[in-house]
Amino acid sequence: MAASRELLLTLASILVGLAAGALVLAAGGADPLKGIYVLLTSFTYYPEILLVGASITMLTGLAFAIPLRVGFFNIGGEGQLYAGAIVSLMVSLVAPYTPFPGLLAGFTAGAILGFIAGFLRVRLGVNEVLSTIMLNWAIYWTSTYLVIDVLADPIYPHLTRQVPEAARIPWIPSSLLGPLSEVLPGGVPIIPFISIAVALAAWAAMYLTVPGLRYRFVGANEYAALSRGVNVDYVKLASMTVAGGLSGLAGALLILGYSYRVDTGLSGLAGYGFEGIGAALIGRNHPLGIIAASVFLGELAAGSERIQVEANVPAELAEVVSGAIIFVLAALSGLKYVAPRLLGVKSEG
Amino acid sequence: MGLQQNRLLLAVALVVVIVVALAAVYMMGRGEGGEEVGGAEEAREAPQEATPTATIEEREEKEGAEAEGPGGEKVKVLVLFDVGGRGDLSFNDMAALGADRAAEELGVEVVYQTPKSLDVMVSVLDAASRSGDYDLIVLVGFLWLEPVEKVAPKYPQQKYALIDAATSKVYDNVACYVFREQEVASLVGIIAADIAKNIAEKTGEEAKAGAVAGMNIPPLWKFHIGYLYGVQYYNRVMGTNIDMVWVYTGRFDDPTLGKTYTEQMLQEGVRVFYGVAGLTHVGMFNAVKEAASRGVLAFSIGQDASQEWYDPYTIIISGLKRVDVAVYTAIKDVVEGKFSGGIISLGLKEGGLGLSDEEMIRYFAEIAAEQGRLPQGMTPDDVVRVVLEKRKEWISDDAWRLVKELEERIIKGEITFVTPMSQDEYQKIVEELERGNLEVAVKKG
Amino acid sequence: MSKGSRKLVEMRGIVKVYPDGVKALDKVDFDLAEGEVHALLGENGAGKTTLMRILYGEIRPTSGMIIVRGKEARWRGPWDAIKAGIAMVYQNFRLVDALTVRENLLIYLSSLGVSRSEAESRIMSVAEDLGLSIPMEARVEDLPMGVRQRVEIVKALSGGARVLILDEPTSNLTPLEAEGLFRLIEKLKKRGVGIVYITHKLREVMSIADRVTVLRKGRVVGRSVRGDRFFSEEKLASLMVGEVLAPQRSLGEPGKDEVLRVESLTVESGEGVIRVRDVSFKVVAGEIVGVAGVAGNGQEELVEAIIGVRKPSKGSVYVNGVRVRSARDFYRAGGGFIPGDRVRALAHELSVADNAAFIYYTGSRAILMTPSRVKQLFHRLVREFGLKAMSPSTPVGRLSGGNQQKVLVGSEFLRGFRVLVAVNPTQGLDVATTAFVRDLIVKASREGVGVLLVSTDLDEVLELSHRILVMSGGRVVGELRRGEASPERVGVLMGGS
Repeated sequence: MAASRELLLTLASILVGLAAGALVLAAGGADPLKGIYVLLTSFTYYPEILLVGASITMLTGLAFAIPLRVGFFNIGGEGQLYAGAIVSLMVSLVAPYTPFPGLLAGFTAGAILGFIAGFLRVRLGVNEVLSTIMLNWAIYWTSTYLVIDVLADPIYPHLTRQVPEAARIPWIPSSLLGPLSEVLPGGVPIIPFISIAVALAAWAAMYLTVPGLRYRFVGANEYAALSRGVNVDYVKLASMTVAGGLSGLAGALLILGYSYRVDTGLSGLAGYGFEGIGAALIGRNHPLGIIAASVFLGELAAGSERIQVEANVPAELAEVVSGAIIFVLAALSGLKYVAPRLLGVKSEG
Repeated sequence: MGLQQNRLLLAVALVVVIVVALAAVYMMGRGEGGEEVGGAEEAREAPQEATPTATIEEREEKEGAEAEGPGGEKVKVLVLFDVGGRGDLSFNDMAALGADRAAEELGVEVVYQTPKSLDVMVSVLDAASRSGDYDLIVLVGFLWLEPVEKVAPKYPQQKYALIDAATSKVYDNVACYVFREQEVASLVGIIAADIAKNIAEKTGEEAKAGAVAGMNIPPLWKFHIGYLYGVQYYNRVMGTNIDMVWVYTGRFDDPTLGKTYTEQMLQEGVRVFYGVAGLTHVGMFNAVKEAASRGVLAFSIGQDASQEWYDPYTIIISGLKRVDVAVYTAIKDVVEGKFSGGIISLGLKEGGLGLSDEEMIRYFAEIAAEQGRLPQGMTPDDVVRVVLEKRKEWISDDAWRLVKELEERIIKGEITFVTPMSQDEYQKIVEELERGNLEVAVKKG
Repeated sequence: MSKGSRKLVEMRGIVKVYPDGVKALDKVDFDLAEGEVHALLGENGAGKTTLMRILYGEIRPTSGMIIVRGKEARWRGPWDAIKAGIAMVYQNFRLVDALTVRENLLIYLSSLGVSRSEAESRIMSVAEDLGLSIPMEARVEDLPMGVRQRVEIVKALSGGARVLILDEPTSNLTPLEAEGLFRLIEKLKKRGVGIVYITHKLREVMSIADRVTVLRKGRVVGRSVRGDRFFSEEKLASLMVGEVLAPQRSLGEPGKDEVLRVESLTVESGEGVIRVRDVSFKVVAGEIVGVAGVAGNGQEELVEAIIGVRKPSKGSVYVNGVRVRSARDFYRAGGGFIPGDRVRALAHELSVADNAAFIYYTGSRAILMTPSRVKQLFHRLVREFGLKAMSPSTPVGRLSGGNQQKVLVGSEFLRGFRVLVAVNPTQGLDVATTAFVRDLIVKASREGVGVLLVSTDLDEVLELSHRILVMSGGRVVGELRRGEASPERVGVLMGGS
């Protein structure tokens, strides 16, 4: 009963979110119905944008959701993703044989950042929102420096050098897709499968293992966990570290599996970390919910490209529309889950 | 249960408030814009209708002369901007201007798209090419270079026009429109040297010409060579010894950085600043404006669009890169069936480059006025009047004579600038130019 | 009532029945006169605080009336009471820690409609009148507890309070600070302020109160005025704890092996107040050792130190010969724990199965938690412990208190232990469940488990313990064998400080 009610509520909030988007479209002088239709169906036109966007947001979504359960706001997904992306790129240039060293390095780079923020909070009481935001900036400028001064491509100076062929995560060529090759002439990136596997693993770790159960208890009732011999600080630190690692992994997947390089403005990386917050809120902080939410956000990303051409909506308005939908959705689903943690009170009744 | 209902009510109320607020923000965003000349950043947040000439509706009414595509249908063109998108009152807006003119005069259907990030550019271009919906895809800006090199070979039937960049190899289906930037920069160089000389005479102190550039990349090398050529040309003819300081900031999108560099250069005696750094040189404009308000005699020179409106008191002239001409030409060639792959180079001769005249100043001042971005209390007429007054005061007739002379020689083909193919070659040319060897920058024969 | 000529407040026939049917107060009469200290004495849960929260307007009585200076009053909330001159100072002070004293006082007074300048002058005159120095610019979080309490009192008085309700005022104070408080109370009395002194400490009643009303289980069981024949520690103690039936349950014979040893344990609270002072004892296999005492006398800290959650500042704890340095040590050495507060021990939004599994896997090195094993655990709770729950996935918060306790106790017993620390294991349970849990504990002890039973329910301690340790003020003030323990003797020891 509870599950069906949740589903109903989610559907209702999606409708309200879309209504908000339609309203913004109308206010901007575009055809709202057509706009929403295009926004929701563009995956046929831009399957890659959906798949790649979803797989990256899925991981940054987990990176926000996992520490949130133990009361941490990891706003650092953005910087952790940058770090993962840049480090994996550098590693792939140094060791251009397989994608694995790059993936590992990307995860580690993000994990270190997550660990720093977690450590500052657990040991020194430094608010993790502040520390992660500051780390975001530190990473942003470091990345910019590396991209411009160290990794720049001599032919395309606004881009870095590319990940060598052998170090890339391959795509499934369309020839292997059989009947689907019509729809996916460019083949299918593998990274969505990796992300889904990671999200499912996160789900299994949370719900099918004893450490996962203890982790959930730390979030639900810290004192209970403490009095039952759980090392609460360790759990918190671990959750921030894993979260950072997942954001870093997201950056590595993006670089090794899709874009193969970074641009000087970091525009290819920007925003995924924050979109992950949306995915976590819309997905109600649950790994399976985040999978669904990320696919939805990926579709919005595809849609906000397509809507420019199909409904003559300027790019800026398209951004506002998808922003409005995400915001309303996240507010509706996130309110219940985040507000109590934010205010430090447990909901009663 | 009662509590649940209350919460639901609260949620609905919240949503209504949010939606209304968003709508209000959007409506306001259309009315007001940022203050920056190349406010691409702001444009993304506060969207605005930046179509210079005709809005979409107007365009649809003007379908007098309908161009027909190969299939007998109306020619359809997709214009892909670079990531900054429209509203920059510069590069992207000029491209839109050309496409709008094509839509109006040639009766083609034009749609626009701005990809969200560099990452999706390949996917966007690939999908558009695959769809076969467009007779021509216009790619605005050098950011499209890499994507088009990846995608174009896969779709030989699809025609592309790449604006302001050239593919490393010739494709039959890609027409690259490039500019001989040296030509306009050399004219700007003469003006800058002249202003510097006049300032030095007035103040009795040394005054240098200078430039705030973006990244150290081949397109900028051309500007450097042209500008330096112009300054030295002036020195040679007038017997002066004006120095030129060229600075790479490394960024095209960082006004703060531009301002910092400009302030340093002001310290070093630079008084005329040529901005070839996109958004970064908006910071240069600001620094010069502030210096002027402290009583320092200094001027800026814009590039790409006519940028005088941003501060007519200190921005005295702009070098024009007529992206609109390039886009219009590309579309026209397709309509007339004259499309061919390869590199099409535009310069003073083709009308692809020039210095801002009264008409262009007024035109961009009017767009800026529509967007509410003109300086407080100014009208487009004021902008034109102030700029022309300043020019009269600070640019001598000699300079105009030299500009005219050089322009004619370039158009006649007496002077053709070299384009350096490597960093070394570029360095060598610059060194020679600094020694006064003008011939090194010019092709023999 | 020597000088108390004029009554400040009077409460008549106050009844409070909570929505769940618990009768917290049953026809209680209470009054307070000018310039007197009226102590409200009783054990935890006797209804003292509830009664005063009614007077303070925080809780509405089910029936009964409040009369202030001769007129019936109806409070819509504490603000009405405050405006009528009634103020309450809680055990945990209600000041904003991050603000300065001045800011706290000004905010309070301005919310009463007092202008800023008026407020400043009132604060000054109150502080001067009482000869108190108040650090106006200091931040509250930097102040010792005693000073915060003075700030609270100044706050109440400058707000115009004539009736001051002090709820367990010495519980967070050092002895020296408590002395200061008593002197302050004397001054307040002289100025005609009436003071309600809520406490369970007999010694404080003897030293400060003019009158005392004793509550037990929501009823008034005795009244006494200084000087009459009931005004003694013994009499008040027996009134407070009531008639307790002699223990009837037969216990097993304790064995010889020592399973729990506590050595000269001293524990401090976060604020540096010593809560447990040099406590030592042993529990052998098969023995049940009761710890009696009024809540707040160090039992909680003692238990936390034993199970390894709180680091003692001195002393050590051994379970089965293993030194306990962390909670994990305690559980892995064979410790078992039934906490006193179900709200703090269960995760209410998580399912019954999750909660059961969490307790069951305490200290375990297992990694995988297969759904089938969890389901099996749930069914054992249903079968062996009579748990009534819709399904394993029901949130534990939806269960009744009794069923929650069954999840807690059942999972812990299924896990198994050699030493059990049980805190108020039957608090809030119905008769049948209470008997069930007590049977479980006795059965475990017969099977060789050593039990430390910490309870504020004297009946329980007397019924189940081989030995009883009485705690007061953080010390073990007495030890009684099963044969020699009587409610009166325990009661006197409990009220010791």
